[in-house]
Order: sequence, then structure tokens, then C-alpha cells
Amino acid sequence: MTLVVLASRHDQTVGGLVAGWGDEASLLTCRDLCAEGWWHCPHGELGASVIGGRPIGADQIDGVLSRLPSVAPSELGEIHPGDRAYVAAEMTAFLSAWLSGLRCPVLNRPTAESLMGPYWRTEKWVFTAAKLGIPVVTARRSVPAPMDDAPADLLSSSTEVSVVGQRCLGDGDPSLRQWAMALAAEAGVGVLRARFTTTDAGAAFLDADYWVDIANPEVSEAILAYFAEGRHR
Amino acid sequence: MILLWGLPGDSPMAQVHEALIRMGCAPTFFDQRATLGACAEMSVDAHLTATVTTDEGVVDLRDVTATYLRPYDAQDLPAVQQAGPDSETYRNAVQLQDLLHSWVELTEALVVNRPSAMAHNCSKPFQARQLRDLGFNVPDTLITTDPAAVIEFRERHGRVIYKSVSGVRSIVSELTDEHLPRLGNLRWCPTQFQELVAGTDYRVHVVGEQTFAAEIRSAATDYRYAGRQGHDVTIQSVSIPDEVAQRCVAVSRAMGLAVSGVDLRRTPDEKWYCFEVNPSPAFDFYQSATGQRIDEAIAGLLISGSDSPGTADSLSAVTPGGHNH
Repeated sequence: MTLVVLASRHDQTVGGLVAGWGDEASLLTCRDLCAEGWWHCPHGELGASVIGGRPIGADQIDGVLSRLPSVAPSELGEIHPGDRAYVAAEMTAFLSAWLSGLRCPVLNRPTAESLMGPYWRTEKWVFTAAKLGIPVVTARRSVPAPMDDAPADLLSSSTEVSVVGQRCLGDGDPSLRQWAMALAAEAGVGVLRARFTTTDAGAAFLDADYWVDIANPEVSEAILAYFAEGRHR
Repeated sequence: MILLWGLPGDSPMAQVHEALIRMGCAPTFFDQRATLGACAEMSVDAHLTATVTTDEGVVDLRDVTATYLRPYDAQDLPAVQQAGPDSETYRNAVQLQDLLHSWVELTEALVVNRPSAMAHNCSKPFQARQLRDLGFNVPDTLITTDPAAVIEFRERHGRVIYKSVSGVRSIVSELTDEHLPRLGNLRWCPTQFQELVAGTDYRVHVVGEQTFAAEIRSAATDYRYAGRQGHDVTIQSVSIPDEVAQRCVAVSRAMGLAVSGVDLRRTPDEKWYCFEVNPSPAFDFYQSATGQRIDEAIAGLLISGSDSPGTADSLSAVTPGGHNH
């Protein structure tokens, strides 16, 4: 099974995940895009990539985990400083097209706004959760932002639930897992981290994102299982 | 209330503003330069509330029925750049921009256009896949870091152009023999090549259900830069096949765009190719050449507060130069 993890070259945690998955997994950073041999036809053949110096046909890839919302100019140390913003935009646009053209499972499929899935701010998550009937903590913000705008008392006791495909990982009342799954379905994503005020049935939704804890062996195994199942579908 | 957000000197914004006033509507204008010191509050649960306080008073965004957006990136505003990233001006401008972006994604008001919808244009091949799925012809495309792949692609198509992959504006240019010695530079960044589709260019502005078609004639590869290349460009209002116009409306709607500028090319054998859908079109360039009242159509759309057909009297009549679908 050939797996690819797209991440920032500065991401410290992703190396452990890739190493844990063994020879089947490759780390793809923007440095790999500065290599001869990539080609992609959006309306025809799938093309080829060069990851870690190794040519890989797009049809050989069995799964991609995206941990990169976009390529930042700061990632492009090899590029002339005056060109970094342009090249970053070009690489992001290319990756968006490349990822969306792959036939294998991609967690999460890119959207026009982000290589990790829909770009939803806290307010969008809370609004969506409330519309789904999930109890929420009202999201508030102001301009100028107060220096201590994080609701520290809520965050200190909060709990996380992670969704990976049809698996849901996290402690607490089963309703939390149902709510997290409902949010993932509404966003159309396979990977989601939802945060709630407490673990009990009286919990309220705080926020969500796609940064599941890949250092957690349960999460890592769930992602691997998701790709393995996709390969056999 | 109709809310405009951008800079008053921006020509499309100014024309929509003036059209609204001509049509008897006094919009609220968030001039980005004048609102650098504005305060704002937003709260969201099952309900969305937001206010913006400027020198002129408090604006309750719940009163907004429609909004037209053409904001410049706050970080690029001269006063913000001058203040620097550690300044209060900079923080305020960026925070206000993000709060308003968050609000426009959630409000039930008509938004022309939501940033999430406009983002489709950030990756041309990503957008092109949608265009093809929605029934348009799109040029054969190769994105690559591989010089050999480019040479093979050019041999297959005869004539090939290159242009940016992203939404960053670039001059569309034909790949010539002079470029070949520099193909080794491709290894620094994937670059987009397309078959050169010969034919006549059209820009179709979609405003709700209305379309405004303009035919562009120029010998330049990229007519937007015809003058630089020593070529003339002529633009005139034309009728296009109803099927093509309807497809433009359908594409715009599928992308969540109430207003768009669709770039088409008609081949000599009557095939219609779509290159791109611009989610924030600078329609004034085409309006001044054709006399099409795109500004008034947008103003009418904003006044109606909906991009659905038949929901407002202001849309019941065809705007001069436009066609209803």
C-alpha cells in the first residue's frame, strides 16, 4: 500500500506518523514539488509525482492524508524571496488540482479554499452545529480583539472527539461522538476534530478543525485502516 | 439595507454605487480606508448578530439584505502597510476583514460574492474540472515540472500556451522555440500548459439570471494585454446561442456566484470552450466598450435582495444589453 502524507516541511509530528507506517508511506512537502518529473493532466491521464526523490504514478497511490491547508511562502527557502508568494500560490493551486484528481481516498479532499477540506471559521462550525440541533457555546468576537479573548475556563476542561471515516475516537458520552459524526458529514469530510465543553451528556460544542492528533496511536491506526478499506472497496 | 464593502475609487464598485443611487437606493458604504479604526462585534449560535461601529454610527448587519464586496486585502492598504504589522492599525484592519469575511459566509443576505465561492478561481485546473463537468469544453491541459512532457505535449497539439495555475493574474503567452532552452526552470514550480484553441473570444457577464455577452476581436494571444503586444482590440455587444448563455448562468449558479465574468472562446467549427469564470469581474472595461448596463443589473440584483428569478420587480425587465434566462 502506497500512502502519502502532505505536510509542511516544518511539521514535527508528521515524521513520526510516516515512520510508524513504514516503507509504504512517504512524506510530501513543497520541496518535492521542486523536482523534475511531476506531470498532471486534469482532464486526462492521472500523471506522475516525485516524492522523496522516488517517481510514483498517481494510480499507484492508495491514500493521501493532507496536513497542509496551503503552501506558505516561508516554506520556499530555495526560491528567490521576490518569487516566493507567487510560487506558493502556484504550488497550492497545483496541489488542489492534483489532490482532487486522485482516485484514491484523500483525507480530506481539498476544496477551493484549503488543501485540508472546507475552510470553516469557528463561527461557521458553531452555526452549523446549532442548526443540527447540537448544543453550542455562543461564538463571540470583537474588533479590536481583547487580549484575553480565549474562554480559558471552558478550554481547560474541554474534551476532543476525533472522526476518521466511520470511526469516532474520544472519551465521554456517546452523544459527543454522534454530534462529531454529524458535523463531519455536514462538512463532507472524513477527518475531523471536534471540541466540546465536557465529556458528559450536558456538553456543548466549542469548535472543530481537521488537526486530529496523529501522534495518538489510535488515530494513526484508524487512518491506516481507512486507507486499507478504501483500497479494497 | 444594501452594504458595499471596498474602496470608492475602485471602478466597478464606484459604478455599482452610482447605479444604486440613480435607482433611488442609498447604500451603506464601508470604505476600507475610512473604517480602519472601526469597532465590530459578532456573536453566533443558531442566530447571527453583528454590528460595526464607524465614525458615522453603528451599523446593525442584521439589517443588510444584500451586499456587494470588492475589498482589497487589508494588508495591502497603504495606511496599513505604512503602520506595519506590529501596529494597532494593522491588527484592527486584519481583524475587521476576517470578522466581515466570517459574517458574509453566514448571513442570509444576498452576497455578491461569498469568498468561499470566489475561491474556485484560485486554482484554474480545479475550476476547469467543474467547468467540464457542467458541460463546457475545456482545453487539454498539462501541469508539469518535466521538460520532456512539455515537448511531447507541444508535439501533440502543435501550438501551446502557458499561464498561471493559480488565480494570480498572468499574461497568457504562446510557447515558442525560444522558450525551449529555459524549460529546465520548470523544476522549480509546476507550470500550466494548454493546447492553443483558435477562435474568437467572448466575455459573458452573468448577473443573477441575466447575461451580457461581448465579443472580443484581437490578434493578441491575451487580448487584455493587446496594447503591450502591439495589437488592437475591439469589443462589441453580441448575442450568443441561448444554450451557451444558459450554461453560463448554470455554471455561475453551481459555483455559488451571483455575479461572474465567464471567459469563452468560439472555435471556427462552433465549439464553445470555457477558460475561466471570474468571480469578481472588472465589468467596467467591457461596459465602457459595449454600453451594456452591467452596473445597473448588479444594482437591480442588490435591490431585489435575491439572485432567484422572478422574485423582484427590478428584475422583471431586461437591463439594456442583457438577456434574461
